[in-house]
Amino acid sequence: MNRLNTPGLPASKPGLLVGSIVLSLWVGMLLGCATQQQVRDIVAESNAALLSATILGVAGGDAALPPYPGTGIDPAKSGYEPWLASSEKIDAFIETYPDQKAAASALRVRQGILLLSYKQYNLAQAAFDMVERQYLTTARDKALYRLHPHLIWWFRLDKTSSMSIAQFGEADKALEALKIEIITLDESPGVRDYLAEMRVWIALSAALQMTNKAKAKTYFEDGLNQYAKILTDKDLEALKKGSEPSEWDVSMEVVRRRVRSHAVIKYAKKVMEEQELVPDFEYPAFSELVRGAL
Amino acid sequence: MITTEAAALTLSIAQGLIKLGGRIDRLLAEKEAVTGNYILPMPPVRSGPGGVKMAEDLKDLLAETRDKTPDPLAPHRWKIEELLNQETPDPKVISDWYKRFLPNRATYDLINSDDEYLKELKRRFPSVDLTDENTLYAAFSIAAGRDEREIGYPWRAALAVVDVLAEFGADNTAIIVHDDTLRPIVRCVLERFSEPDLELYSMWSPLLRQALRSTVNGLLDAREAWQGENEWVNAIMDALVSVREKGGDDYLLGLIQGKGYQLLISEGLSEVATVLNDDDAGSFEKIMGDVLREAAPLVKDHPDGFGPFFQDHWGDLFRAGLRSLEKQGPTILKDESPLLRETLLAMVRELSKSPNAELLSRDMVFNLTNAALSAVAVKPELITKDIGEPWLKLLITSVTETVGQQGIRRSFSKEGIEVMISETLGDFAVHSELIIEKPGLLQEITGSVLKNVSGVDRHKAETIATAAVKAALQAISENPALLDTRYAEMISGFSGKVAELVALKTLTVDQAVDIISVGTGAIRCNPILFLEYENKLIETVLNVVLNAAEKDEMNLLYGTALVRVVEGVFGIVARHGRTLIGEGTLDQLAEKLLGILGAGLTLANEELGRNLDMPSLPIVLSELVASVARGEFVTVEPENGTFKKYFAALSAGAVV
Repeated sequence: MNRLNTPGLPASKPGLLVGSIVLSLWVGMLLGCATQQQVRDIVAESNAALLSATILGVAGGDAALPPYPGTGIDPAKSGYEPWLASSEKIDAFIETYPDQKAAASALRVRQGILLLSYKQYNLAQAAFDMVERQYLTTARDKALYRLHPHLIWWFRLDKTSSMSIAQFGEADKALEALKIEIITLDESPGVRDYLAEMRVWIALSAALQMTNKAKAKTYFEDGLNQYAKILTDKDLEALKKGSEPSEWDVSMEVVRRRVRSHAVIKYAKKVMEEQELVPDFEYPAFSELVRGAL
Repeated sequence: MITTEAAALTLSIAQGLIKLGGRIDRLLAEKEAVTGNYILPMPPVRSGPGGVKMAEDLKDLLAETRDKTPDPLAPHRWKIEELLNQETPDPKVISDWYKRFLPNRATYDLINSDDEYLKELKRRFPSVDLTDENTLYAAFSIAAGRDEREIGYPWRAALAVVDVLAEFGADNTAIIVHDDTLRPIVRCVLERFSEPDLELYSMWSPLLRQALRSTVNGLLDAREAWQGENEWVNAIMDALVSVREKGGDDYLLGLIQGKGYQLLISEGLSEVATVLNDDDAGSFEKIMGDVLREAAPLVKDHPDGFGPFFQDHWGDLFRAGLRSLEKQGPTILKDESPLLRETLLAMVRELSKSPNAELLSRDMVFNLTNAALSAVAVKPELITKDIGEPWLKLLITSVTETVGQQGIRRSFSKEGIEVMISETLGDFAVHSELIIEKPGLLQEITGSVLKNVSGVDRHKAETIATAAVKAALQAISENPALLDTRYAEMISGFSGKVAELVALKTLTVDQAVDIISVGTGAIRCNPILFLEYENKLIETVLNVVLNAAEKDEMNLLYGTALVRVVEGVFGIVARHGRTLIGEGTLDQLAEKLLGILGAGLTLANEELGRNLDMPSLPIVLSELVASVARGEFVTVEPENGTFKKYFAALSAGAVV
């Protein structure tokens, strides 16, 4: 703190002084970007791996990972894991910067989702266990952290068969937890829509697989009535009219919500017909969409 | 040629930049991690036969194969039958049987909603290249959503800059600030401000606290630079510095944020300290430091009650201390356990235990402390070191309970109660013997008066109550023997009666205040007589005058005339009451007095403009009552010649 009293450099060597200042500025600029760049790389790489998992439909169940397109690499034989590098970088970063609590907790959630997407369920659980929840600050990370037991259950569930009675119990818990979480996310539509869609898929799956018709109807109605709440009047109008996106003039989040709802609505109609359900909908406009399946 | 100072400054800038770069980098790294978008995949779901359909198909299969030999379902038929007889057959088990016995129908397709999304995007946006990674990223990425922290990253980055600049400024104050007095202050403030990493704050409240704390602490650190010649100001600042070391920054900050502190500095010192001897400032500083340190744990232990109260009122305690010093002289500072110290400590301890202390206003605390110090100055043995003081507890309780009484708080304005209690405490400070004799007197008088007059509207009640309390205290201070009687109770009852008459619009508020004053005066003149009849005698006399005024067709008794007649008759009753009552009852007295006043008013109507004018009328009527009491004539009739002559003589002599 008393650098002011530091003896001055010899006045006869101004070149040395200027050089040292320039050097310190250059070093400062270099050092000043190092950590940020590290995190930026982690985010970019993990997103690339998550995008691969999304496009390839890797996520979910216990089936073997498909070969990676364009590489011919079979994950089962090669041992090549696109998630591994990102996950290790996250571990290394947190180890190097233990005082970066907020960054570490957010990265742990990201790591959990990454591992979940690549069927690494135990590692995902371990990543979520290492989150220091008090340092999570964004709606998305908090919601994902709070819901992580249900996310792990749903990702892990074998989708090639029907759920057992015990799994229906887990589904009930997940539906309830998701419902409560979604209510709080109106100011964060991106994650809200994702979780609402996940919830409706769980509910429709339960409705399809349920062997008791009355219970199937309950799952069906609850799932769709809750899901319809995220759709605005304009969303419903656009879906009903089947208007082109060029007329929408909306954000990417709205585009995603509207476009993704097509798959939900079509699947709902299939379930309704397959199980011969006569549901009561809370929202007539949405009911029309399901019955007509767009 | 570069001078040494310029070189140091340039190096300092370079160091600051490196440091700033590191901190901004750390902050931006956190921003990337926390707010970076995600790609969140959606697990697939299965389509295919529904649970209800599968159960029905299995039932059909059971029926179709019932008579077949060999049985294609053997040996599982009974298990399937049992399962299907359940209300909700386990879907997994149904699915397993279905796959086994109806494999052609058990086609389970997976539906991947992310795939469906991409297909729909392609259909709706044919020109968009969905093989492009950036496009896919935009299509799938999900934002972080709302950040619950109040201070966003742009602000936090700005704070990091401020922090580094503060540190830089602290190191280079000599270059930035040329004023020799100001320089150390600025340096201390900046040094304090640059201590924490400001960008780590995510909420405004702690940040603002830190900013204030830094400024205050910086100013205190640099007090040599700005402290002047006023030893009393220096004493207060030095006491605060000593408190900071014991109580911590938060405690010190709370004290300085408190409203009482401003008054202590602005009013307390400017009014009082100029007349005090500077030599005593050191002793005062020590006492102040002791009391504030002693209070620190009490404040910490009561963060919701006494803590905030003390922060707001400690200045009032010491203001009262300064006032007391002015009045009592430095004797209360002297000795090993100075009276000022012990009294203030006792006050703090008692206030910390009082549940209603937070209802006390600044003036109340000031006057309460002032009253207590006045009493102690008169009788030092009231304070005994380290022992709970019952009288002080009673004094404080009498105020806090009066202020806290629900009925009173509902019926009176906060300001009205504050003014009344503060003024009463001010009277106590003047008549400290009242506290010594009866520390709970305030509650006894004020509490009951307030309760009794609460029937009229708030503003009128406050005026009447103030008059009653003041009159009662004055009477008691003049005649402390009244403390042992039911005088206070009587005054409060009388004020209640007067308030009722105000509510009935028989009296105005001004008349009521005057009548309370003359009533308490009369009682003071003959407390034995009036106390013997409790409130009945004085109320009877008042009613008589009011009845007489009401019956008078000419309505001569109004405004101050009415009050002066009441005063006169009260005085006559105080002096001749026993004669007037004799062996009779109060009703008979009332009849007698009403007759005298009625007759007097009848004659007054005839005499006005001859020997009588309005200002003389109350004197004539009072004297008429006195004459009857003295037995100067017996027949009181307007038509009686003797009475007429006597009235005329009185009128002629009664010149105001």
